Amino acid sequence: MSGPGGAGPALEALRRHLPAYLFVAPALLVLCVFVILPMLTALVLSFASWNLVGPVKWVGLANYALLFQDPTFARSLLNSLVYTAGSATLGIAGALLLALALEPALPGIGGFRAILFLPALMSEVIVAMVFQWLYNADFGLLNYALQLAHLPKVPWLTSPTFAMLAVVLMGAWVGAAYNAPILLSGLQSINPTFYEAARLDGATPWQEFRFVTFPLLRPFTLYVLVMALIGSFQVFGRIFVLTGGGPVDSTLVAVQYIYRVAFSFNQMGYAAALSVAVFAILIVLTALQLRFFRREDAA
Amino acid sequence: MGLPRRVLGLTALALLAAACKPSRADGGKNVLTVWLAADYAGSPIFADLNREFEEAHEGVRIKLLGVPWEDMPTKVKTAIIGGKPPDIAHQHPFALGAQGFAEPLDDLWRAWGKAGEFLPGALEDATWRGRFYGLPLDINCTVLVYNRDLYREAGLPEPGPDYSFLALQADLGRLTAPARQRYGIGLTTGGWHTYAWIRANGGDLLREDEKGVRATFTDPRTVAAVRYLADLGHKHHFGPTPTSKARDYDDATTLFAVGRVAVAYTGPWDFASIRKNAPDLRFGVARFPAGLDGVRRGSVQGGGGLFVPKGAAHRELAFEWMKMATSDKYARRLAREEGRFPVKPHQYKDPWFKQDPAVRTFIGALPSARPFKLDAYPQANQAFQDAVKEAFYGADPAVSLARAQKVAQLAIDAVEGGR
Amino acid sequence: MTVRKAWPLYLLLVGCTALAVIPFLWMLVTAFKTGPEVFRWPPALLPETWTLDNFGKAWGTGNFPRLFLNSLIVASAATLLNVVLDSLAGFAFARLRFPGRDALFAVVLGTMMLPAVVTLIPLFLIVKQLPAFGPGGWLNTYAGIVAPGAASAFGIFLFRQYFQTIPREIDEAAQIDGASLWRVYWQLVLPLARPAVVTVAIFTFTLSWNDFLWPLVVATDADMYTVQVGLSYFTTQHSIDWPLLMAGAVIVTLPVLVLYFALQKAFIGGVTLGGVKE
Repeated sequence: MSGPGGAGPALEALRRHLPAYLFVAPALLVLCVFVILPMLTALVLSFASWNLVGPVKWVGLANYALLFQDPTFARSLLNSLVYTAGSATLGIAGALLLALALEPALPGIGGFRAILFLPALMSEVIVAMVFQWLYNADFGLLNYALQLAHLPKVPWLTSPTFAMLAVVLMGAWVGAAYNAPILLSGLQSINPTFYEAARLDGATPWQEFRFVTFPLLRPFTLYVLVMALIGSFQVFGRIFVLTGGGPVDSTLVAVQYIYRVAFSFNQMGYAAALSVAVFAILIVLTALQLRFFRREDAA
Repeated sequence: MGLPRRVLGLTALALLAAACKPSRADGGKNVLTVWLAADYAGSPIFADLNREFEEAHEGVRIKLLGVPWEDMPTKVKTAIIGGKPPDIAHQHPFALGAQGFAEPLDDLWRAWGKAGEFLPGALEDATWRGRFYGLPLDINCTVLVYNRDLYREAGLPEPGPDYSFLALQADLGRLTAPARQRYGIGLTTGGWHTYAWIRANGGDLLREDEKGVRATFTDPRTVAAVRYLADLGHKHHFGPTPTSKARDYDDATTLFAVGRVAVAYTGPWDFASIRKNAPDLRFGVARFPAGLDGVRRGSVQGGGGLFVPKGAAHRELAFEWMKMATSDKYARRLAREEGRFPVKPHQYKDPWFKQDPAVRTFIGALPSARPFKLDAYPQANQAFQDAVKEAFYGADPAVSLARAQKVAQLAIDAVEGGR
Repeated sequence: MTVRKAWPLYLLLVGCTALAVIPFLWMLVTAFKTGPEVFRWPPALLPETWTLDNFGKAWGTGNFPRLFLNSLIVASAATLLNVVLDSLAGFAFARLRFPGRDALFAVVLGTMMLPAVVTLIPLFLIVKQLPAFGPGGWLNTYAGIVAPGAASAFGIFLFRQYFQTIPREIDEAAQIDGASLWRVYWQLVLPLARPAVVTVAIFTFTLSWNDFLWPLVVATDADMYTVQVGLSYFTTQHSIDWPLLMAGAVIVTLPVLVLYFALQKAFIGGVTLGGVKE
C-alpha cells in the first residue's frame, strides 16, 4: 500500500502509530492552544518594543542587548538561582527524609502521612501571610522560640542576608511537604522482593538504601529534581507577599522583575525578552540534569 | 468502592457545569461596565446609585465589578489590549492618562463647565499636562496620628500648630522604650508615604516647566527629608525597622493600633479600623509637622478618580455616571458611610464634617496636600522607591537619590520624548 | 521494624509534624482571637476568649458562598480533565514507541519553563477568540477559567515516570490475549497507578483552587470570581484585622483539606505495586 513518492512510508508510519498519537493528542491540543501558542507570541514579541498602547515596533535584538546590561535583571537572576538552589536542595532532602520515615507500615503512620502534607495545600499568599508574622522581628513566634533558647533575635525580614534565608526556608518547608508523597509513592512502588534478596545477601540498611532503594527510586527523584528546579525558578507570589522583593532587592526574583517590567513599566517587548532568557536558562539546566541522570543510568 | 465513584460522579457534574456559561440576557440594552476598587464596590451606596442611574437612563444597565486596587492596572491593561475594556475604571486618572491608558475627556468637561466646583488638588489627580483624563471621586491626605495616653505618660504636650520635624524627633526620643517593646513611630518605606515628609519639608520630586519635566530627587530639601525619616529608624531607632513588603504601611498602623508605637502617619481611611480594632485607644490627629526650616507646608494627597479606559464603548454615558458619583447626595454618603472624603469644597459645608475632631484636623490639612505625581512615570517611581528603601536600610540618601534621579530622568525623557 | 525499636522514628516524625503544622495552627488559633491579643509579647499561644465571630463575618462578606461554588466547579473540572488527559499522554510517552516521541516530550517539558507573566495577554486574546460562547469567546466563563490548565506538563511528566515503573510484561501479556491498547491502559495499567492518579488529583485541585491571577483577569462578573480573588478583596478591606483575615484564610483552605483527607485514604491504601503481585 505504498502511495506515490515518499508519502507512502510516512503515511504507513502514521497509520501504525495512530493509537499512540491519539493518546497524546488531547493533552497536546490543550497545551498547543493555551500554552505553546502564547509562548510563541511572547517569543515574537521579544523582538519588538511595545508599551501596550502604541503600535508594536520591531527592534530586532535590541531587547536582548539591553538585558545583558541590566544590573537589576542580573541581580534578580542571581536571587532566583540562590533561592532555587537553597529551597530545592533543602526541600528535596527533607522530602526524602520524610518519605523514608513515612514508609514503614507502623501503627499511626497514616495519620502522620496525612498531616505532613498540609504545607503543600495552603495557597502561596496565605503561606506568606502566616510566615510574615512568624518571622516578625518583634512579635513573631520564631524569634520567641530563639529567645527561649537564649539565642539572639534574628532580623528575618529586615536584613538583606536574612531575608533570603527566610524566603528559602519557607520554600523548603513547602517543597518538603509537596515532594514527600511523590517520593513515598516511589518507595512504595519498589517490589519487596528486591529488599528480600538484598537482605539474604547480608546487606546493611545503608547498603539497602544505596543499592536497592535509591536506584529504583530514580524515576521519582528525577521528576522531583526537574520539577523543583523549574518550579522554584517560577516562584513569585509567595516571595512578593513576604518581602516585596526587598530589602533592597535582596529577594527580588526574576519572575517578579519580569512582572514589574511588563505591568508596571508597560514594556511588554522587553519583558518577553527577559522571559525568553529565563526560558533558555531553564532549558539548559534541565538538559544538564537529564544528561547527568542518563549518564548515571549507563554507569 | 463508594468514594472514588462518587468523586468521579461529582467531577463529571463539575465538568458539565463548567461547560455551561452563566447566561445573562441583556435584551438589547446598553450595558455600562464599571470597575471600582474592591472596598468601594461592595458598598450599598453604589447599588443605589446604579439603580437611580438606570431609572434616569432608559435602556441602560450597569454592570459593577470590584477589583482589588493594586490589581486594577493589570486587569485594565489586559482588558484594553484584549479589546474588552470596561467603560469606567478606578485609579489615579492622571497616571493612567500619562501612560496612555485613559481617554481624554476635555470636550466633556468643557461642555459640562463645572471644573471650578472642584478642589484644585482633586483636579490635579484627574489631569495631566493640561488635559483631563478622568473625574476625581474622593480625596484624602496623610496626617499624624498619635497615642494621647502615651504622650501623656511621657509628660509630653500633644502636637500643636507649631509642631516641627525637630520637635517630633525630640518627642520620639522620649516615647521610645525598647525594654517595654515600645517605639516612638511606626515607619513605612512606601514612596507615597515618604513623599508626605518630602512635601512637608518643602521639597519635591518633579518639576514641570516649558523645557519639560525634570526629576528633582536631589533637591536638598528632598534629600534632607528622606535622611530625617531614615535616620529616625536606622540611626536613632525610634521606630522598628520596617519590612519591605508591598503594604508595609499596614504594619505601622497595626503597631499603632496595639499601642506598640506612639505615632503613625496615615489617613482617615484608617480612623475607622483603628477605632474598631482598638476601641480603648485614645488617639489624636495632627497635621504634618513643619519642616526642618520651621515652615509648615502640606503632605501628600491620595484618593482616587474614575477614568474611561482607552477604547471603551460608552464614553459619554460613562461621564454621566461619573458625574452622578460625585454629586452631593452620593458624596455625602461616601463620607459618612465609607470614610471617603468629597472633592468639591461646597460639599464640606455639611455640619457632619465638623463633629469629629479627627476629621476636622484632616480637612484642615487637605488644601495643602498635593498628589504623588511620580505615579505617571512607573520607572522613575520605582527608582525613587528603591532609593528610599536603601536609605532606610542604611545607605546615604544623597547618594541613593542622586543615582535614582539619573535613572528617573532617563525614564521621564523616554516617555516625554515619545509623545 | 517493631514498634518498640521504632521510637526514634516516631520522635523524628513528631518533630517534623510540629514543623509542618505550627504555621497552620497559628493561623487557626489567630482566627479565634480578638484584635490586640495577636500582638502580645510574649506571644499568646491560645486565645483568652475564643470567638467564632470572625468566621461568621468572613463567610458573610460579599458573595463568598458563590465564589466557593465557582472555585469548586473550576477545580473539580480541572482535576478530572488533568487526570484523564495527562495519564493518557503519560502512558503513551512511557510505554509506546512512536516517531517524534522524545521531541514531543521535550516540548511538553518546555511548556513549564516560560514565566507565565508574558503569556497572560496573548492567552487572554486567544481565550477571547474561541468559538461557541458568543462574542466574548470563553471570557467570563467556567470553561475559560479551566481550559488553559486542563492538561499540564507536570501531570504528564508524573504519570510518565510512574508508568515507567510498571513492568511491560503486563501489557505484553494482555496484548497477546488480544486486548486493545485502550483496554491495556484503562483496565490494566491505570488502576495500578492509583497513587499517581491521586497525587495528580490532589496537586491539580490545589493548584487550581489557589490560582489567583488568571481568574481575576478572565472574569468580568463579580459572581464569576473564584475564592482567591475574594480573599484578596478581603485582605485589602480588612488589612489590619488579623483575626478576621486568618478566619478568611482558614475558610478558603478548608475545601482543599477536606478533599485531601478524603482522598489520602485511597492514596495510602495504594501500597506496594509496580510488580507482578505475589
